[in-house]
Parts: sequence; structure tokens; C-alpha cells
Amino acid sequence: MPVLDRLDPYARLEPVESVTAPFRYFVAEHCLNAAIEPVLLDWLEADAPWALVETDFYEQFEFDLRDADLPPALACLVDPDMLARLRRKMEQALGDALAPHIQMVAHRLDPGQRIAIHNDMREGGETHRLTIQLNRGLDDADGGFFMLFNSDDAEDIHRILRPVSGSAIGFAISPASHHAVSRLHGGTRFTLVYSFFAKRDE
Amino acid sequence: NVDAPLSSAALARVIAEVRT
Repeated sequence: MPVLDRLDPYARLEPVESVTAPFRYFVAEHCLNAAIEPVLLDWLEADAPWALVETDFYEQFEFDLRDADLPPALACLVDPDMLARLRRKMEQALGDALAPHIQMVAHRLDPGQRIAIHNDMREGGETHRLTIQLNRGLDDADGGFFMLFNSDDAEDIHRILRPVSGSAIGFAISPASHHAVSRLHGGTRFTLVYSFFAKRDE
Repeated sequence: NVDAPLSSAALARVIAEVRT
């Protein structure tokens, strides 16, 4: 496994499209360093410490990257300096000041699993989210679409995004930030999920 | 690259999949 010392894995993450309604979000492509992505996929498939999480509206495998014994080649993903750079990109993209604390969780969706419509709102919870897709290539028949909604009605669709590997969506969490992931029918859908917190006035 | 233009049948299917 190559050692990619002090590499900024997020250097290529730049919004290519920013949207304000029904909630503030941006879309980006080719977000991870090209040398990191295949190494990360190999590790997620072979060695990552997945645990099944089941709730009333989703079932998927997860683990917290801060708990994981990452190989040296992937340590840059959780390097505080690199995460600070990523936070600044989020601040620039969404126009909000964010606190230094960042949470990082990996998700794995297997065939048959889905995430129903929800908005991520929790009292005292995170305020901004970034999700980066990773997979070996999924066809439309495989499903796993990231769906955005105009309301809490699943038929009120704003947009449907393919889970193109390396693509990302970042958004400000609000009562309106309704989204979902359609059922996966083939392949494996990995996602890196970064959670941010708005900076509070002291 | 990213937007998925789904047929009406496929659209109905994904809506049913994410309903809660």
C-alpha cells in the first residue's frame, strides 16, 4: 500500500454547482485525490470495521473513522490540518462559519438496503453535512440514488443524483433539507459522511 | 454525469422505496 505522506485528500473538492432552494446545497465531482480513492475502496471492501445499524427508517453498515485503525496511506483523511482545509471549503461553499469539530462516519449500503426520507435535523446536532460517494461503478439499474425533496412528501422530488464515485453533495441542515437514498439493487455503495457544526457566537 | 433522468416507472419505484 503506498504511503501518501501529507497529501491533501480533499484538494480537488470544489463545488461545480450551488443551489439555494429547497435548501442550500452544492454538488461536486472528483472530490478525492486520485491516488487515495482506489486505496480507500480496497480498504473499505477488505478491512474496514463495519457494524450493522438498524433503525426505523434505514438499515446500513457504518463505522466511525475516528475509531478505525486506518492504514498509513489513508491517515491523511483524518489529519486535523486536512480536515481544517475541508472545513474552510465547506464554509466558502455554503457561506457559514463552522466550528473546528468534525465528525466522520463511513456508510456502506448493500443490495436491499435504503435510507428513507428524512432531514437530518436534531436538536443540538450537526448543522452541515458533506457526503462523498465511493463505489466501483453503479448503473442506474443498481439504484442507490441520492434523492432531494421539496418537502417531506416523497413524491415531491426536487432532484435525483446518481451515486457517481468521487462525487459529493454538501448541504446546510434545516427543517427543509429532506433527502433519501433509494434502495440499492446491485453493487455496493460506500459513502464518507462528514458532519459540521455552525460556529456559535461566544 | 450526476443527474439521473428516470422513466416514470422507475420514478414511481424509487418514490415507493424511500417513503416512510
